[in-house]
Amino acid sequence: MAKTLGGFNKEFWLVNAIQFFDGLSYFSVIIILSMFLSDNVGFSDYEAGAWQGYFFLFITAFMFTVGSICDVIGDKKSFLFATILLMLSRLGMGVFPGLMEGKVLQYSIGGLLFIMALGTAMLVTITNTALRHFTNKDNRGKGFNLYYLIMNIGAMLAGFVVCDGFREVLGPVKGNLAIFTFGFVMSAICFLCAFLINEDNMEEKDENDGSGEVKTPLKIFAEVWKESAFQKLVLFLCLTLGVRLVFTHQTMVMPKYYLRTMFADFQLGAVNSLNPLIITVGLALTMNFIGKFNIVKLLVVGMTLSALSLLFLAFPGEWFLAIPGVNNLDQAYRFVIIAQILVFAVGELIFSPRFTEYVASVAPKDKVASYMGLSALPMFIARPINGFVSGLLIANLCYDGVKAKIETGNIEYLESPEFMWMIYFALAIISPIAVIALKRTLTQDNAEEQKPAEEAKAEA
Amino acid sequence: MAKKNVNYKAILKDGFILMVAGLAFAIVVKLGFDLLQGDVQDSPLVSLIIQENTAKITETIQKDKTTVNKQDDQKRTPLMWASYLNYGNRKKITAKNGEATDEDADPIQKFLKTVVYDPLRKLLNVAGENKKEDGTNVENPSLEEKRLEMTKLLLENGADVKIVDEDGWTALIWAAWTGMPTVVEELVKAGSDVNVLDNQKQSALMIAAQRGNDKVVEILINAGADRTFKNAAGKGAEDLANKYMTQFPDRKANYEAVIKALKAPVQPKPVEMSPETSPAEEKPAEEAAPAEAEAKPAEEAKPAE
Repeated sequence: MAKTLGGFNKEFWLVNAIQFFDGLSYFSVIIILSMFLSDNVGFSDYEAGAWQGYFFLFITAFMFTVGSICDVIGDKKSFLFATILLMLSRLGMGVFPGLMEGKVLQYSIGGLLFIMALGTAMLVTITNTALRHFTNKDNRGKGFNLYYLIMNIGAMLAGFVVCDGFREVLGPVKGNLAIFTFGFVMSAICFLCAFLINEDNMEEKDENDGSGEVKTPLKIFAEVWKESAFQKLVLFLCLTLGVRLVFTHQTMVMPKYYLRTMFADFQLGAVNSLNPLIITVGLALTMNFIGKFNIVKLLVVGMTLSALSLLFLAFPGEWFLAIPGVNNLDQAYRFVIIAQILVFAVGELIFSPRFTEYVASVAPKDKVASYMGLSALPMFIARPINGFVSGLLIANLCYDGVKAKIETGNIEYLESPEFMWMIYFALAIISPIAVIALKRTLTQDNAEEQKPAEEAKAEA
Repeated sequence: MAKKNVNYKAILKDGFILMVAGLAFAIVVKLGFDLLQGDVQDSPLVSLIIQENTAKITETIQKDKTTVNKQDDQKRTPLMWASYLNYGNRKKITAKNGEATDEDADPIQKFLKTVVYDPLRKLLNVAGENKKEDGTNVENPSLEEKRLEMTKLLLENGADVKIVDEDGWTALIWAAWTGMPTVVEELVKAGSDVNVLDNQKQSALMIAAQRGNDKVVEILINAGADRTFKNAAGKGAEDLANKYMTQFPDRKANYEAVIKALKAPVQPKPVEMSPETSPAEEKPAEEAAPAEAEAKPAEEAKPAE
């Protein structure tokens, strides 16, 4: 088979190109989505939060089923279909606010969010599958590392180049529309890349080709829900829900928090670029030795750090004026924002890989994939709730103009954005405490299953 | 590729069940949260102000006159929204074509400007190469000019300058905080009380002094703002300017101008009041806006409608 750059075939690089160009759009759109819904579409903060919740709910719901569909229609058609959906939805979002208004606009955007969620779920699923198809056992590890690196480079550029660039040059409102229009162009490029994919160049085909029965998520659920290992997993997933929701705050709450406690022209994208930068560098640095530590201990450390990072945001800004070099509230807020991102990113890079590892370790060897797929179920319930909670808290504690009231002493702590973060902190810190409290239950059978779990981990 | 034994119906059925279950759950959650949030709808004018869609503002008001003084969750009116902007680089508020120089920008901002913003600006031709008939470039109005236009439009359509938000701020106080002298001038002309105090007993003058908005301070003093008021913490406008000058050394010149204006002898030169909105037009200037005017606490100002 013809190899190109780096020992990979052309299709591998096309898949990565799709991932990169789509990442430029996806990550910049995610940063500005809440502002777009409020400023361009006219939703209140509360409604914007709710719609963001629906959007993530749609993605989670679609992820359960599109995998089976992608398997059937093949990689190329899946890519083409996903990019067409993304093209349509992003173009619509960039153009509709200029063509319609009021409720018509709001419901049209709701429909487009639905389409964008389907396109996103499909693209994420098919990218992972295609990477497996266009690599072999020898170069797969390297291939996935490259993919992860390229994705994070895309996420970084999406922040300070795409998001900040358009908002700075065109202004916050027109900038949001331009980011969607840019997303349309990126999806068109992805479509062209998908068009060039030749499925005959697959290095490895699915094991169940030709005969395997595709299991649906509810069927898998019906099979495993009585298993004690699965019940243990569900307990673990529920316990960690609080801290995992903090991860969604980075996109649902943070952008408005940054703009409202700092400025409308704050470098929103640049600070969002810090997270992928730290994760990429951190993973490279810790990859070799972190596996030596106990999974549950690492999970607790990661969750605790992620939760504690919120304390920076939860303490009154004036407290940070005592730090040398921090002379005013603007600098205090800048300090807490950067500090939170740094500590949170370290927590995330410890927690996220261990989370997947834990799910794989508790699953019976032949059901790792099923358990992995079903591990998203609690998020399916939690995401819409989180959308409403974030909308409610932003509307009441972090509204546009709150900075003016903070500076002039019109805001008590219980009315401040800091109190909002204290609420989130209280929700998040329950997770590590609960995992420590129930550690015995969660790890009870792990010693016996250590050997199969190791194999399962490798498989995952 | 060999065909797989796939039950499409089962997959789609599962997807549908999950979707319906998710949406049903979301609707139940929504009903619960709606009870917590209450039924406060923002005025449609707020979105139009944020979008700088001046043409639509008139159209919307004509369709529904009540929108012009409709208050949001924080009891803010569209006029207050028009009087508010929050930019870190305040030169952007007055810069034409949206392009502001910022000599004090940090190295990261300077780097981004050179590497990202300027090339993108060129690529998108934002500076506007459109030419007038005389061959000169067409200039896009500054943010302040756009806000002034919206303020005038809202005032012409019955926006009430006396309404206060939940913290006792009038549109004038919002404009004083933002630092838009022309908008402040327009609101004063329309009859805004320059001596209204917010819930913390702060006047527009104190807030402008705290922010180092020297031009706004001058206008307010000329309109009769009292320089002797003290806020709930016992600080006056000059105390606030001195305090914040140490916190924001980059705006030292602005704070010095504020202090100079606050110390200058009283020269009551009230801004000309608009005939439609001010009943004080026939009164002598001192009476219309006396420097020693008694402060009106926010509670006495026009309550929320």
